[in-house]
Amino acid sequence: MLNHIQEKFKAAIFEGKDEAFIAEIEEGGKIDPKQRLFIYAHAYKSRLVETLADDFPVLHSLVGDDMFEEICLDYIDKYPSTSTPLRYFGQHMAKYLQDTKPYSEIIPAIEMAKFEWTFNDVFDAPDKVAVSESDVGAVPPEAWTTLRIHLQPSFFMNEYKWNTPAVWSTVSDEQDDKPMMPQEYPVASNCIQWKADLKCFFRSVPDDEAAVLKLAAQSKSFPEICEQLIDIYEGQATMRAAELFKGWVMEGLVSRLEYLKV
Amino acid sequence: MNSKKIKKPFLGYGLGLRTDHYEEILSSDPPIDWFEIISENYMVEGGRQLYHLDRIKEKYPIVMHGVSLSIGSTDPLNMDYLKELKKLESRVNPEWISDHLCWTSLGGHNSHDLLPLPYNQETLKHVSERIKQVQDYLGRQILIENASSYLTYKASDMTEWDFISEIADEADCLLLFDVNNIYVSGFNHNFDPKEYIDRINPERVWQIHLAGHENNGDYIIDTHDHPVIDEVWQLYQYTIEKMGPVSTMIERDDHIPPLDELITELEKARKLGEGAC
Ligand SMILES: [Fe+2]
Repeated sequence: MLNHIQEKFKAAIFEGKDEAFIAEIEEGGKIDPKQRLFIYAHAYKSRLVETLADDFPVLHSLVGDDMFEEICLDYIDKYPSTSTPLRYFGQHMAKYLQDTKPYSEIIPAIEMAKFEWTFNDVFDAPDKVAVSESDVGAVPPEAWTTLRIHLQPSFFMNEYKWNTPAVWSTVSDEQDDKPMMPQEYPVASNCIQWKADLKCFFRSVPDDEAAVLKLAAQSKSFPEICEQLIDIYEGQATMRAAELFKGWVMEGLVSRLEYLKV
Repeated sequence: MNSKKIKKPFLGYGLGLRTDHYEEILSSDPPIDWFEIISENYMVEGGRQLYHLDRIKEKYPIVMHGVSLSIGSTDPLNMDYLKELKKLESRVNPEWISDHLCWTSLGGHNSHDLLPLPYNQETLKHVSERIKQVQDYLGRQILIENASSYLTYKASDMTEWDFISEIADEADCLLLFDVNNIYVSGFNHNFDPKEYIDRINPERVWQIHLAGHENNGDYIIDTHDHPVIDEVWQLYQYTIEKMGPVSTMIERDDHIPPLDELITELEKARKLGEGAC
């Protein structure tokens, strides 16, 4: 029965329950059934470990070879791959670390998993032509009250309690093999990641900008964005909003301007 | 199946399209007749992969090669995957689409490996039926590739060459004939690769794969990280003498050398192919 054989094969390579499957394997030849199965079981684990190592190079440097291997092997057991393309396999890593002792206490590791995985999402997101400064110039003054700014589909914003993005850049810049020591921020800080012209970018954002980026990501209107800034900037709120908006355009963060043609 | 039968095309000599070579292919128009893409790598919304594929497909014929169809699995066919495959097909307009004679996933869990099947009537019926369904869904014949394997089953009662030949006839599908895989499996399971080649109907073989591997003495692992070995070149020559010219390509998935090196290796296939005409 084909299904029984496949169930046994799966139990052998996914769970290491190999006896029932070994009995299905033809004997003879230079290697025995156990070794034949081992080739598949080994390939299964090493392919997945390699995938995780590709996706999380800085997490790997942070925790070191031994702990990274332990993490990978346990992750493979807890989150067997359910996706067709292999590249989604690592998608639960941050959650896994958060839920699993002792990693749940290593906040910089959890944050690094989140930061590195976000770049995968950024990388694969749809590419939309960025709005240019002349597109902004073409918005009639009377239309600004209805203007909605649409951010790139590759835009992601996450909050970090540690200096995770800075640690990441010391390794990815290849200035040094060892990451800098993670440090806890006095207060949590937001970091955005996005893609422009097929290149991935990231930067930290001040709190007021994070608050209005949240509104922009929800397609709130420009007046609503200005209103968010009134508490801090009072009469200068519109100017601050315009300044931030201009910065986003220059960075290729804006994919569409929507407004009512009056 | 309703789709029209097309005469076997001959695309010439191609390579697997790899990220490392994108820029060079676009800037220097290298003498490669066509490219094969791994379909799953382009099932994305955006990014560098699709950007380069869109440009390369303007210059070269493309064939699509998948690793996730899991045609031999006892799970239901993965319709989400087939939808993605069809979407990519309409973007790429490939010469043809292929996948492997194997199973990869079960119970929704993916091994991301090409796992072997027992060769018997039950599997034959199961796989042929599923190939027909896939061909109906895509509205075209697909190519099925012989995978290399490291074990065989007590439940098998036929040879791989009889099995794949009968599937091709039963499902009316085409074949992607991997000469290296036949060498690897022949070594691992102690059969004569020529007996395999002799049994295959040349009409069904639309594409040939060549690749290198890692010989561990007692067994061979199909690693695709070395140049093609002499014995496999000899089997290739034997194959095309029997079958006539077949669209041929070199698969390299690891330790990817500069494009020039692969082109030089591919020229060897071209020479043998032209000699066999
Ligand atoms: Fe192949």
